[in-house]
Amino acid sequence: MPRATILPPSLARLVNELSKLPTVGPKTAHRLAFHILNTHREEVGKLAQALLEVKDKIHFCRLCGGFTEQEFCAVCQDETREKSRICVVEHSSDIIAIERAGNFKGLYHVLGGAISPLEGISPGDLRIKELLARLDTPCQEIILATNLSVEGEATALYLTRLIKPLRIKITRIAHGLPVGGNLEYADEVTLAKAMEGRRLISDFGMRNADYTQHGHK
Amino acid sequence: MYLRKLKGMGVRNLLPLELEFNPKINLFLGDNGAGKSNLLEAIYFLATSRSFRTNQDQEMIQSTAPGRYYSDKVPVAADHQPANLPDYQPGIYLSGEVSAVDGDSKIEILYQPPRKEAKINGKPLSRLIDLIGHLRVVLFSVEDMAVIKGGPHLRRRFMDISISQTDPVYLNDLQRYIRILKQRNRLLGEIRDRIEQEDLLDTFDESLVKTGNALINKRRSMVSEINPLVKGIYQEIGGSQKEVQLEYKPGVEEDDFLNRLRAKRREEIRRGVSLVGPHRDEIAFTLDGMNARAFASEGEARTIAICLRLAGLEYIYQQSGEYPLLLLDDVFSELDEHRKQYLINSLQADVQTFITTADEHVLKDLPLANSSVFRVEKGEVVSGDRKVAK
Ligand SMILES: Nc1ncnc2c1ncn2[C@@H]1O[C@H](COP(=O)(O)OP(=O)(O)OP(=O)(O)O)[C@@H](O)[C@H]1O
Ligand SMILES: [Mg+2]
Ligand SMILES: [Zn+2]
Repeated sequence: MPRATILPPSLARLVNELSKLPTVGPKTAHRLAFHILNTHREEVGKLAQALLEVKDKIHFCRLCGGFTEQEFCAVCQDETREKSRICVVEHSSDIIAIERAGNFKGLYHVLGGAISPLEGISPGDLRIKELLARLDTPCQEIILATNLSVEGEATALYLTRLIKPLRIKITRIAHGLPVGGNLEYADEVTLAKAMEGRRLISDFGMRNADYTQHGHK
Repeated sequence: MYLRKLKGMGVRNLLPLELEFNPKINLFLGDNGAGKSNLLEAIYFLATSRSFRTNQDQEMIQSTAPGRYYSDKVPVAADHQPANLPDYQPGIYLSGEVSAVDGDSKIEILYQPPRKEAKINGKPLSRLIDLIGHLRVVLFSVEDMAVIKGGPHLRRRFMDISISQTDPVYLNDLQRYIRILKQRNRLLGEIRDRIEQEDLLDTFDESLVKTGNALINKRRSMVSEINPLVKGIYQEIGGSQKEVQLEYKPGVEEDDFLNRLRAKRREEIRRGVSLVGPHRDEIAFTLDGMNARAFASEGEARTIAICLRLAGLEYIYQQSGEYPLLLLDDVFSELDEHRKQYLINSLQADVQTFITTADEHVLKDLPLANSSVFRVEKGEVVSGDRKVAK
């Protein structure tokens, strides 16, 4: 623990707040705090404003649950996207990771987490009902892109059991991701490969169709 | 492979270390409580990021009670050094230089609870378990003599540590299995308490079976590989015609796993704990057809225990193409002359071995010519002359 007593209270508070951020250790928190202290008031004002604005303006897309400032997110509004493929992810930040990889042209659905009894997260806490509601409109493929962690895998299995009777092709991203890995931290090439190399879980009614190792072109 | 150099600080009573080891035999002599086992523990920690003596890793950190304040500073990872940090942060830092067939490498581990981080050749590992396999070790201590007569978890731990060091996929599956088990046990309790729906259990059953079967598979083939090794070593070391046999007894057979889960479901829910799977595996040892756990004499059981470790060493060699380090903590004082001789003779020329003892006479007359001797005294390890006292 840094000895906060050495710092004036307001500075100590800032260090303390900064060090709560992910990947920011005490040393980095100090460095950032001193940097802010040495920055023009105007600049700091912009930062403070940006912090609050993002909280006030960003909502979750009514359809997919991704980030947006409007009712629907940019992906859902984009007429050129393939509406018949839905990629299911745990968090909205995963969408950004997959979009950066750039080879997926369908829509997304954000669950808001993964099933984990240890953390008290059960299927009812996830946006699964909303997903099932979306499957009423013709859907060709559900891509399960939850993390490859135990919890992400359990969530994928759970969804497979739910969706299988609906006669929809289900695939799971697989290859190249570090085992047990987090989607968000996977690099773009790895993610692009993972999306291409997704494996079939259920090809209900499509036995002789175009499916080979790779999902689609 | 062998450990060329070890640097470190913050481990139990040890003063800051900077040691160069013999690629063959290294002897650590010193009084009881001097710090000999602590040194082996440090090497084991560098190899596995765990202690072999405790599940509470914090216990390994040097106590900072007044007057017990040995090393004055543990270097803090560069990114995490707060501006106003007191000089001393309780923690452990170890670094080792390893020579292996595929080249030299440097391993570092920093443990300052709750952080535990490792680097290979200066590159931080994103997952700590990726440390395992860079420095392979086989440890044999007095406590391990209980592996035959003690609880089945000792025998499962033996399989796990042997396979994990040569098979990262196994290690990964093992970690997942443990996590699935935790999740599933919590779920069983919640179903019992009517907090959660029973259908969710199907999902975790599927995960448990898939990952569990991967473990069963590899444990089965591991046991079948070491079975003839143990048998052969026993007949030499024990100077006995008795025949040791190992049989892998999985907690459940692969193709029966799901059925057994179904059959046990009510009981599992009632008790809130998973009753079926490789976490209930066992190895059955027989000596001339008799259950060794029940019928082997104390001395026979110890001999089998040694043979098992040596077979584990051989197994790692067969799987990885090079011998791991062999850490022998205090075991010589527990052996009779014949077995001592055999154990020393069986040390392969290319196995780097670390031996501790408080009674150096235990080692006299042993062919330890090409060994390095270290004296351990009140936490200080100094390399001594290259001869054992007569
Ligand atoms: N966290 C700790 N901090 C400081 N000292 C410790 C810590 N844990 C253990 N010790 C000390 O380390 C000593 C034990 O060292 P160790 O077990 O290595 O002895 P040894 O040389 O193997 O002795 P023996 O011959 O009896 O096996 C004890 O004196 C104990 O008080
Ligand atoms: Mg000891
Ligand atoms: Zn959207």
